Amino acid sequence: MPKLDQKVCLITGAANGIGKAIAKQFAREGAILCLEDIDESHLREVQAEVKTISGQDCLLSVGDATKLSFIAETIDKVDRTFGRLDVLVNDVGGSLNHSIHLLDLTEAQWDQLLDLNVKTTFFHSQYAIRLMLRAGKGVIVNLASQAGRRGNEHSRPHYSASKTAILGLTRHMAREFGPQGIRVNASAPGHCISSERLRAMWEERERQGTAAGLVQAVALRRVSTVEEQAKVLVFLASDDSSYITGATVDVGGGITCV
Amino acid sequence: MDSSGRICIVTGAASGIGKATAEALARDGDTVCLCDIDPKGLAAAAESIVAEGHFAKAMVCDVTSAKQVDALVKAITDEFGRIDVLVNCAGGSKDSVHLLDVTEEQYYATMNLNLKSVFLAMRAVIPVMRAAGKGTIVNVSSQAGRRGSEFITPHYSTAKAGVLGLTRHAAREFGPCNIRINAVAPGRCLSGPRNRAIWAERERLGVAKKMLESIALRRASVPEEQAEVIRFLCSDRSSFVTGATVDVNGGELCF
Repeated sequence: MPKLDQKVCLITGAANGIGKAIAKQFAREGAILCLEDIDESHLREVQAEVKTISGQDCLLSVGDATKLSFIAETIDKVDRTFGRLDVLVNDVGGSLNHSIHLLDLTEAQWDQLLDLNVKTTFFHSQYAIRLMLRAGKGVIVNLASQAGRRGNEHSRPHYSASKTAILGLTRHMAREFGPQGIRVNASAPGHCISSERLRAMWEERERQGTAAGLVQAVALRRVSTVEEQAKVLVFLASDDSSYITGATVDVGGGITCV
Repeated sequence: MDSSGRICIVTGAASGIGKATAEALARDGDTVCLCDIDPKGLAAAAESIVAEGHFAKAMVCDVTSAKQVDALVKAITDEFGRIDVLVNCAGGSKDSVHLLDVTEEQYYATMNLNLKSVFLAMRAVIPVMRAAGKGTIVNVSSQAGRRGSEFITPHYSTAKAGVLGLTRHAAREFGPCNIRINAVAPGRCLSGPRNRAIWAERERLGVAKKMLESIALRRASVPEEQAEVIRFLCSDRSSFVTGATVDVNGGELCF
């Protein structure tokens, strides 16, 4: 029995990496998809892959996830097309490759990254919750990060801050909207080969002999695949987690155990 | 199906969450060795699984006894040659007693049933899993082990918190052997007749509503909901999850 059968799911950041893997895994589980990203060409590739998996023509929304007008448009499109939204996956986000120390961080870098990770999650959730309240039910899953748990990154302090902020937002939304039938949880991925850039980075680390040191901190002594992250999202989006809300599931291979 | 005939041990399987977990794993096609100290409850639980056409074996065991736990694991290994999954559900608290009144006997009884049992089972099973190059363990803790402000049963909270520390340690130590070890921390659960009676009493006293108001989902869970999470953590769907605690408390406590 497919775990997301006929569930209307909006996935942000679906063009690449973990978001793309989530889209494909959700498609395998029978979900009806709306995929959102700023990267149109890769988004269309995912759309084609979803068509191969489940035969469906998923809805696309291309634009800047940090803009409220675009968010409103996306949610409106979902509402007009499907009349409901069952699951929102807030995957859009990243570190923008900012390897910057706290004392050197500019205001612009702060604003840009916080908008990309937190503002997107916040306002997509706000618009989605309005639809979900109408139906009396819904599920939201937010992609945080082990960086939001560990708190001791050498660089990218704003990334850690943004990913921890997502956890706080998750807990609040869960407590506020639980009584109205909406579950909200987060997953916190650890090391994951989620892009060509990261794959190249890990291969470089292996060449330089620094990979072993990083992997040594992971109990499973390896990095994860995007599919491993996506499978946890299926669990949190589906009724298998019906009594879980306000929780964070660590998917870090035992790098941080809290 | 994400299990394909694994050999599973579930302790505390005669009732509640343990029983629901044993049923869920058996329905996936696993062979489940149900363990409990209650022979009648255990036999009934195993029989109902077998009646559905699945594989179950009832094995009476006092999980607070190292001898009995070691013998149990040896018997299972002798019969099946391996152990793929261990779920430590045995546990509970009988004494509603304040910290200053806990006797040494009550302390040991609760710590042994809830924490030492998990240690003994893992100590016996991990070498078997390590020899096979893989395995999964799920330890059932409790919201009481997270919250740290229970008014009664302080020794239960202590033991259940201990389960989390033990889980994290074992996960970090045996992760390199491809053994995943996680904990679930259930919140309110209508886990059996005793628990249901407690809720009925709460309703009679007019305190149930207030308690439910602190739960985001405004209800207690049923054992099947806890079992689904345990099933997830036993399966390949959680292949990169280890050393984690999954809170299953309906949003009563959020970390």
